[in-house]
Amino acid sequence: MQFPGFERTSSSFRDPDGFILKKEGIYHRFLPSTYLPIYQLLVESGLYQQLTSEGLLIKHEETDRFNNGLLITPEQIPFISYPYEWSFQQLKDAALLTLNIQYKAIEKGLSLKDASAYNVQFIGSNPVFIDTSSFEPFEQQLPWKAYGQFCQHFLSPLVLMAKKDLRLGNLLSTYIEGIPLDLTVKLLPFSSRFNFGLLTHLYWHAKAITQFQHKHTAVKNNPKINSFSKQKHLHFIQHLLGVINSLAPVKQKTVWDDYYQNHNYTNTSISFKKAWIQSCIARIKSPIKFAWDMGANDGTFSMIPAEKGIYTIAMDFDRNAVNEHCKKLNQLAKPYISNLLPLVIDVLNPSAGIGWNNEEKSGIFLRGKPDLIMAMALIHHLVQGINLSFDKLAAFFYEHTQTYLLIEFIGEDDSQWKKLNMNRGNLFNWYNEENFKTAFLKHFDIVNVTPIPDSARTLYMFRRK
Amino acid sequence: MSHILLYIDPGSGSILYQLIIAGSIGAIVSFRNYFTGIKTWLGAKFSSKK
Repeated sequence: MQFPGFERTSSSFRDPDGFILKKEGIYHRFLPSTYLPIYQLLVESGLYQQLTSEGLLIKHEETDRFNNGLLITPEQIPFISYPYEWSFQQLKDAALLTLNIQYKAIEKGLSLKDASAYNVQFIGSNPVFIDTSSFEPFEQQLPWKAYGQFCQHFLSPLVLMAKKDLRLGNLLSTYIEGIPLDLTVKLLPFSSRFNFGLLTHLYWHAKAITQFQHKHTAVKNNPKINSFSKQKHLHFIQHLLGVINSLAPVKQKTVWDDYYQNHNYTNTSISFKKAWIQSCIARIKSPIKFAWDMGANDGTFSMIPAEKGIYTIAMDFDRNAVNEHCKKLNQLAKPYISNLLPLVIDVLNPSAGIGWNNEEKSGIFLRGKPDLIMAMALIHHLVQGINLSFDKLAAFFYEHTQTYLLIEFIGEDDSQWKKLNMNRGNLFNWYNEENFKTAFLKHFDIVNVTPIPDSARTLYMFRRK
Repeated sequence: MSHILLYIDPGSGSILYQLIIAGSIGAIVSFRNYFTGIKTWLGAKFSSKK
């Protein structure tokens, strides 16, 4: 199918019932005429109205009608994120959203034909289901087709993060189809078998998949598969909801989860930095829409641009810190919630393109450039971590910010730097403020420099040349 | 409507397995719902007598 003027996105090809087109930076969804009777059912059953009014499904407008289908334009997502970048809390919220939609869909005579975690996106802290063409008519006798997919995409990673280690959430970037259940049960502690929910939906389920893997049974019109009533479906979803609801992240100590408590930050220096960031943002006269806070930890500083209406991505590689940030946001009222998206991103190994031709899920740097990057107390860790030079760091920030950079320089006399550098000999003898400035001034102009009182730290506001 | 194209492979295992366990899961959920109903009813009775 050709759509003059539109670009078909490389990630949208799996579902024949709808695909994404892009024109002038706006994303649209094309529904072919074969899918339109089901789309009508979604609208006429009242399910679309119910789900969108409850904020569960993305709203759209019918933009254009073609001979071969309908073009709808959904509300735009400010920043696309993927399940491997979500904290435990975010993945759990996305799982509950999917099950709630399935429950309400069954009640209205529809069902989700897939339960991919990639069908959910976040607008700030709010998960929303974005795949309007995921619905199909509910068929009484058939079990839920997407049950296996739901368990691989949601249950497996959540249980691994709840029972074993939060870092196992990173497996989702390796397994784009979700974490195989047989792998999950191998990684789980033995005690997980004593939980009936996990025993049924993971252990026995994994066994059944292996058992029946060579038995290709037709599901449609099979006289043996005719006993799955609507009530059974609803009970099944209710049970899964209970299992997901009962999961909580494993309690583990990570490097960064109490960073602000254990490091040489006094309340005064945190307040000083907050006031400085506020003054920098107030200085910017041109409208800025989008910011990244890199190494954001629990979002202490990310809230400042978000409060000013700037859509802010708070990135940190520590899953515990990001999860705490999400929990904190869930307790707050808007506007933080709609403007601030915490994500698990490792600055030293940022999300790359994955899937077919490495194009299905794009790398983090292809999803929109921020107008402003914040890097508070970050670069000394990057220097120590992988021996990054100031030249490399300056070039990195120059490449990724559209205009501004707020960055904190930790001097070589800082106690934290000395502690990290204790056993490194002369490896970082080039690390000083003069060399920092020389490297950054090749790409940026200084807008403001403010030393933090009683410390060896300096705050720089740069503008891209 | 005969829209039966399955673009995800539901896998026979997951489908057949649901048929096997649906009965027990249904019984558990029914019991829970019934029990929650009784608790709510007793709670309402108790609080109305206060």
